[in-house]
Amino acid sequence: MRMIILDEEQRKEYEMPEGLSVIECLLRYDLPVRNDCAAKGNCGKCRVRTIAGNLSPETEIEREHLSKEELDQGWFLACQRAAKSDVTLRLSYGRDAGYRKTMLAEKEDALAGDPVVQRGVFSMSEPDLSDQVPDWERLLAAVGGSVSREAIPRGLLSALPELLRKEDFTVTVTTVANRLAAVTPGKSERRPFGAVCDIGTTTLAVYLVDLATGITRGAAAKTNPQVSFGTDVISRINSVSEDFSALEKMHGDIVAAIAELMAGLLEENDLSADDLFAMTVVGNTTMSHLFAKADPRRLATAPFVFCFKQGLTFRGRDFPLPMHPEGEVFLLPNVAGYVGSDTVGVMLSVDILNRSGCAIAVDLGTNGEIVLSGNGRVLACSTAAGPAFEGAKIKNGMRAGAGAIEKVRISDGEIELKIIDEAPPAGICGSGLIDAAAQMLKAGLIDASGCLLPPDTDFPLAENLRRRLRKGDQGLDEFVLAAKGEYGNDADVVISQKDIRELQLGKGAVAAGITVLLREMNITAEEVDRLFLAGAFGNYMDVRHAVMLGLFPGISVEKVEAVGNAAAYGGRLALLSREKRAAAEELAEKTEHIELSTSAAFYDIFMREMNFPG
Amino acid sequence: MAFEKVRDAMLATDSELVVKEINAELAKGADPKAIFDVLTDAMGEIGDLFSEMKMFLPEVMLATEAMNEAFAILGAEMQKQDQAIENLGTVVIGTVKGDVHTVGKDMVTGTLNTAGFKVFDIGIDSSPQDFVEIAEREGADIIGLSALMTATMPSQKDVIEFLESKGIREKYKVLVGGGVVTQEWADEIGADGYSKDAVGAVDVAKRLVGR
Repeated sequence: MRMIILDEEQRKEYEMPEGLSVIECLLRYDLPVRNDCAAKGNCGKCRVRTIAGNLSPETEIEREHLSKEELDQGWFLACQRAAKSDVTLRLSYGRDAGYRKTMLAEKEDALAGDPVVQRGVFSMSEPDLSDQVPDWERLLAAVGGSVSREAIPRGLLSALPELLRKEDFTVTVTTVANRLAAVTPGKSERRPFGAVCDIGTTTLAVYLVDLATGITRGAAAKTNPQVSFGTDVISRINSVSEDFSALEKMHGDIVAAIAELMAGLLEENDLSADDLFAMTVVGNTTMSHLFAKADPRRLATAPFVFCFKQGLTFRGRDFPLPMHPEGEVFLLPNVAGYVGSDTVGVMLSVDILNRSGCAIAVDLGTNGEIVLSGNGRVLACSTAAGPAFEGAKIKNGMRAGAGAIEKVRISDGEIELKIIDEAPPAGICGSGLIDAAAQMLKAGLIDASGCLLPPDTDFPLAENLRRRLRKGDQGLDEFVLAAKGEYGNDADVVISQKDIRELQLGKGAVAAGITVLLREMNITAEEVDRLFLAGAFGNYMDVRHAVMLGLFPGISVEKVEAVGNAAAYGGRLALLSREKRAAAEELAEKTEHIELSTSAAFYDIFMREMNFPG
Repeated sequence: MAFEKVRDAMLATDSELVVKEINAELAKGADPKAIFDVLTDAMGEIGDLFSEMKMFLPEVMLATEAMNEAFAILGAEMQKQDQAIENLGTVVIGTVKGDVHTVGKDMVTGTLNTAGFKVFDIGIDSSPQDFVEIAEREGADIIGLSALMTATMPSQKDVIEFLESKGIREKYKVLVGGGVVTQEWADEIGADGYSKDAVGAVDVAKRLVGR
């Protein structure tokens, strides 16, 4: 039997031995699935969705962990079922923010044809008096191709004669781009590895990639240590403006954090620093500057002229990182001050250059970066999406961790909540807020202008909803989503009128950004055939609800496709393929940046788009 | 209540309806000043609803637009009848050097305008010299400084220092605002007034000119 895994745009087939549970098959092929309880049926984390095919019958354990609606939609627990025919599955991923960020880049694909790092075994004829070709030239002749004659690895010449003769003129040679990087005696069985580093303002993620197969071997994440200089990019830039030595410190902090994650990944995989030959780095323009130790100060004020834009190439030895000193570090290019190499990564990942038709890519975070491609042009803008999507500035907002309400349903006056790790609700995360607002809009609890019903409303409401309306702090109306004790929680979790307003600011800015780009390209939303939603948050958000709230004006649900951590995925493409690396440079050059803060149209559209579709 | 339909149209932030109701009242021979007072009260109500967040920026913007249209009609009518339109004071407003955000400044321009101030909007990325030149030329009472980013807040201070260096600090009341600006910052740089939003700015401005 065959198991077909749909993962974002990819479709992969695996042979599935009879008699194995689905989770055993997934684990056998190293596919991302949570297995916290070792397939005992206790944790409910191995949720997978069937798209097609027959499985063994539903179990009691599944009914404990999944709602009826989810079971009807094809969700099941991989440890509970075996396949009865060929099946097509869609995988779900882990939960906490770091895990979200790391798992989402997992997207297996064929290795591109022109890898940056190549390793080969070469044998040379032994010299004699009729063949006096020197060792270096002898090696170059054997390796052939376009390997640079000038770039000789540091220290190689002192060791080369012995290296060649140790195994009778058979050596294993590793090249990086056109540069010979390492020579070891004899035929090596070791494979070269690489790393992708996604520097988020909040979270840093590092992925270890087998460069021979293109497969990701591991991922690790931690909080960006630069948060001690401020949680947003502007405060980090301000730190440098106040004291220039902060640049050195923040650069050192991020490199040390990358080194720590990389060292852990290498150890887990029984690898050494000398196995790591390439690393690509993506991040917003400020993060790129801090990584490269470039002066970021002019990023913060108009006219936003920053230090550099192009992709930068370093050697491994330029940083105190656990990698081969002759390896290569490639920092992807930026587009503009607030459209960075992470957005270039997103563009690479959805192959926006080679798409026909018109497509939008949106990466949602504290800033929303929006890209529109079509008619041979690529436009990009950045908009202050505000803190709402990440749960900040929301009365009971929290990050997507245990206890966060992530899904909300309101029907027939009843409220159904889905809480991460099924803990008592402690707050609400961005995807939960989107859900709550959309369901409240549908239930008539808020109107198109975003106004929440007052407690004394005469609007016809189910009693269970009416009693949840009240006046909260500062005289602001609020809606109690989970009353104290209702789900074992020790405090109320509410949606306040102000929370709705914060959401309106964020969604208005994103919707207006999209609209301004469409106008600039002179096309309508109907002409857009795809909207790629990048970022962990986009992957968890219920797209139907986002559309219901008008986040993507004029774009219908079917056109929206969540593509996970596409920035890191783009970084991985640039790690594996020289062609993709060149495409990144081309994208950065070609993309036209539209500055929204001076766009006359933006203000009016932003005001209009703050309202919900009514 | 007098002119209830005008008031309701204003609270519905429907400028077409406001204009229609005003014209209907004027046709009946109503006193333009009395209509104007009703509209001003309605704007006050909208301000209260805004602070309770029952109304939001789009409605305030629409209300401001409606008020501007009403102002044009009523102002012309009052002039015909030789009634003076009271000017509460003259304001020069702009977004400070290095900052190009317009939304907040535009909202304040609108609310001050409709409250009866004469407002000169000098735009974005404005230097201390720009502010002072226009303020001197127009005989301004208030200079309004908008900054939306922590990186550009110091530019508000630059304007105050420039006024001091010219020895004309006492001629003007300086009002500061913007997403990241706080009362503490306003106090620190010696500004005369601060408001967290465009609606509150009207009260502060009125207080600064002694109204």
